[in-house]
Amino acid sequence: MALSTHPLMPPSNRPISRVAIRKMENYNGDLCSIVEETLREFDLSVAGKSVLLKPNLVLGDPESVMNTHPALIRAVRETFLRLGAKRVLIGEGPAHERDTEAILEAIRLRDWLGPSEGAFVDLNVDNVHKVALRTRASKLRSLFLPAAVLEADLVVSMPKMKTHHLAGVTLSLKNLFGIVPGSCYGWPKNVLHWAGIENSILDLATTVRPDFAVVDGIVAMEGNGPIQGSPKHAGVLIFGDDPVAVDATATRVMGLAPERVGYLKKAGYVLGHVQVEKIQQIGEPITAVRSSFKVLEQFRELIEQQGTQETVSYS
Amino acid sequence: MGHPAVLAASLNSAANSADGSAADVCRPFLLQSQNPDGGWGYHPGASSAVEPTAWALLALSKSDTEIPEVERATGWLLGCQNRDGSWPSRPETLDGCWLTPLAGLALVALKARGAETAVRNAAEWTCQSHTGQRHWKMWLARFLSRRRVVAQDLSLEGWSWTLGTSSWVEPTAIALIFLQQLPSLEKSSNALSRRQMGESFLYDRMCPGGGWSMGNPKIYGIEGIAQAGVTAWALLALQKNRQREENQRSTAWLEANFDSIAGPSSLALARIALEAVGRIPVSIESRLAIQFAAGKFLNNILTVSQVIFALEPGPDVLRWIPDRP
Repeated sequence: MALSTHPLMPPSNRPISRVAIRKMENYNGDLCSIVEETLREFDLSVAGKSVLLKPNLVLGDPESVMNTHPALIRAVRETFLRLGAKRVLIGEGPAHERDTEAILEAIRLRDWLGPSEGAFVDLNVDNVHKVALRTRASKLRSLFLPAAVLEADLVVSMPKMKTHHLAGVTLSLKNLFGIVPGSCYGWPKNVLHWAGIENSILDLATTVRPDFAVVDGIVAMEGNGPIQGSPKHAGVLIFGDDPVAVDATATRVMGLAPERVGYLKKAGYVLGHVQVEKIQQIGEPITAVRSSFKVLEQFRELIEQQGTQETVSYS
Repeated sequence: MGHPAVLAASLNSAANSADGSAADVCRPFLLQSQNPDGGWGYHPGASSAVEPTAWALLALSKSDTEIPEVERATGWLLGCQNRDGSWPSRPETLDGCWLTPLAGLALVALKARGAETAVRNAAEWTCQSHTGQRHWKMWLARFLSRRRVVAQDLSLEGWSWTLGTSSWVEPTAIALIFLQQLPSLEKSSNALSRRQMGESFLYDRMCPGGGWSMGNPKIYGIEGIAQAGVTAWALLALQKNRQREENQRSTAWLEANFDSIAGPSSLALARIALEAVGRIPVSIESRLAIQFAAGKFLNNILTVSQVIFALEPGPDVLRWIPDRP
């Protein structure tokens, strides 16, 4: 079962986390080499394991500005197989499209993957099991979750780096909304909004803590994300086995302050590191890849160095 | 016949044959995928769930309903109805949800003997179930909110996916279609007011360029992205107003985008909706055959059922009957 047994503890009791930042200009480069080289830097026990990759697939978007790019999904899948994984599934329960096949077709996922019958699991319609949530931040006490998630030995969250019009940013923790099955809770998983987005993210993340995270920040999204924002070339991939530290690092790369993102701040109390001094950076330093992501006016307070980034207003 | 590869080949053959019907090919696959308990899961071998079982029954309702598979499935469906008349998404999830009107529609389509009370209870539950929008805290939050994320009229209530949350287009459309099928409700003022507000909700949530997204026509002033499947449901629910300008605009949007519909479920729903509003049926057999051969039905019972429903001639419970209000 992939239910987390990761201890919930304050930052002072937790060892330093490691996060890798890699530059990658576009999706045509040698993604497999860079992914494999980076994964080998982490102490991941993969051999013989079943791995579930959880990309962020939102709507049929051929340009993959709102979706994790299929080239990266392929590279990560191939790498885990090369590292000895018994099986690597790709699972997603899109929140804004009931016809999951329409998304797979639009992004040509099968063309990218090559022969891979049965590699994709629609988490919206998988068998479910009732799971008690480990924390009680939201008013949710339990959720039905997909068997494919619960039966995986390793869950890898693969978000697109995006601003989010309700949560500020959406990265590896917010990406977990996609494991909540639409067949039980509808689309776009509205029960989580009503339970409080930030607290729902926390409850989900403490219960199904991703074992690893790979953030697609090559072409990201800024402004009115997660669907109607604008493409933002950030040219980075971010990796790590502490999803909170990965998200905190990605937020800093976006020019935003993770301590001011409500759910990240809370996750930093129990699940992983947000503080920069508790995160050992591998690869590029943040300063070498930092961008200035536009945020909606109401998220102006997230901007790390006030006055250096634009906000976006909509009528 | 039950193996997907055989089904793909047969679909392809049906597409190329003047006499062949893709529905004739899909039906045996569906029947062989029925679980021993009488229900269907979302995939062959998966635990039985209300949505695929209701859709399988809708698909089978268009042909011979006097078969043991239908009887067993009807029994399974009736067996997991809650005492308050609602249906959960699966027996183990318990809480009544958006699938209540869909299950009711399946029973209406089958004219299932002994199911009259179940249908009536489902209709009452549907009329009495409410979203969370009526809660005083929501009114207060809307009044005080400095952020206006969406431009729609939040006072309009349709139906939600799960009780106590927001209204969305698809559950509202399914509830409206179900209630429209029940003449016995015509004298109920509650049913009438819910239907009227449900229709107003759908029109309010239409994208400005035609068609519907899940439920937000504009977010921060930017137009929502209309989707074929959702648009099909809304057009089915509003088909008695087919001459209205909004219906015409959305029908035109669906027709204009028909050739680019990538998923088989959306394709089947779009065809059902376009036929229901009087458009000439468009052949989709060959497109479906290609999609199936490429593994694009995702081995999904729901999709196979929707394809059968779209292709099979026969009485169609999703169609509005003109002599009803």
